[in-house]
Amino acid sequence: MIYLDNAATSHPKPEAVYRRVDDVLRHASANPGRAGHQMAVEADRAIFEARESVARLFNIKHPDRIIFTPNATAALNLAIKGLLKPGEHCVTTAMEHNSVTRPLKFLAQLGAEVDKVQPSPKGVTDPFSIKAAIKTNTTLVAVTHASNVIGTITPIGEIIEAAHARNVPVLLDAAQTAGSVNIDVEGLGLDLLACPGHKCLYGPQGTGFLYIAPSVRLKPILYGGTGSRSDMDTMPDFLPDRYEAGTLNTPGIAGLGAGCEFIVSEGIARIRSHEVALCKRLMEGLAGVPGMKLYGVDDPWARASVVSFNIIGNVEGMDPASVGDRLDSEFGIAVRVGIHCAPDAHKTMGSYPTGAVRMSPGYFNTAEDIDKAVEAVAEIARGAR
Amino acid sequence: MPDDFKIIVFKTTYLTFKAERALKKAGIAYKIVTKPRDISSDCGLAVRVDAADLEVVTAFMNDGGIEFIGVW
Repeated sequence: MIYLDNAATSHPKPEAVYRRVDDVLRHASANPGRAGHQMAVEADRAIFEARESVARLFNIKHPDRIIFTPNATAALNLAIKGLLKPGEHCVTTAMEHNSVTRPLKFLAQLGAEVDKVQPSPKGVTDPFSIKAAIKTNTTLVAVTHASNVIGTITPIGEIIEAAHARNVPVLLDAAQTAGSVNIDVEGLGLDLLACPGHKCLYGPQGTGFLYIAPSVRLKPILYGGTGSRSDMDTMPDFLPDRYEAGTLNTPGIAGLGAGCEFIVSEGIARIRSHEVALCKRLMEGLAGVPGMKLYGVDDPWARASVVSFNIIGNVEGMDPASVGDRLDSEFGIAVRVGIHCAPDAHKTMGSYPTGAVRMSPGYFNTAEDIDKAVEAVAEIARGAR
Repeated sequence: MPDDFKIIVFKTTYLTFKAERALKKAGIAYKIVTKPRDISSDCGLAVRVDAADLEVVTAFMNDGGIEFIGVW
């Protein structure tokens, strides 16, 4: 199989990730933070090491402000629901995934205000439009670093600058970039960073994290045991415990740590260069197929490793679902089709409600994989003419 | 022989393991132990070191900015 669905979950993982998960699950999967016996201490150590590894990759000065979560969605929910109150205003974009759109919609029903800034059809968000949308009651700017559908990278530095000029914190949804595009948390002065562990960070599913800057205080959204201050019936006021109620996914988090170490050791620039080269090859190959509609910006360096397209043909477009099915069954190529949990993004790029076919190359794909994918799409497109 | 040992207690589990990493790096003998019940702290664990090493260890923690609650 040629796996081109890395934007949903990366596959395969680095060998070190498989080994770490297996090792921790076998030898250190007691309950971290709950006991002092040797295996519990090993579990604590595994979590500690993973926190340090995440911090190193993202240049985070305070690793104890990294909150492990089951996925990016849980991290985004913690950030959004922990911060935004009724009567307060959030600026976001019409390019977000439902993991941002839905919690914001829920809070809007409770009395919060939400404004969605409109990016261009190619997915470019103008930092000035974010700045212009900030009001006196704005308490959060929530933006994706790169859309999971169109891939265009958001100018996050300028957005942070604009928001900070008005004392508004910025939440970055780095679901499609963390581990592939460099994110320097301290350098950017980023307030909140939400990441999945199972995409470009190469961890297993069931992992993710939220980084919370010292200047930001959130209300916990999950309450329960932490193994600390067990005498109290309220959540501890110190991090990470305040936001980590319940037993952590110790083997998964250890695997996430191993994934981060892999990225540091390979070099994120090398990973990025490889993915950009694959995307460039894919975009150029698809552009040469007659009857093709490609979405997003042309510069592969201005996008995450995501290429969405539709076969328009001469008469009427092919259903992305049937293209995906044929790629899978006839060519053994795994892609994702539909609206990718991001209806706003598809509306922005003009592909709603049809959706699109998305190919997302990863670090372990080769130029040969891409060539085969282009040939397969060309073959399917020939039938559409 | 409890008199031969000192127990250093940190505010959080994270800091306890940060201390462990520093001690390991410095080659100082230590053991992670369960925090004695009568010491109030937010972490259930503590670091036990030889009493003879205490001065070196506490200086080391202070230099490294690894804040500890106290020594017992």
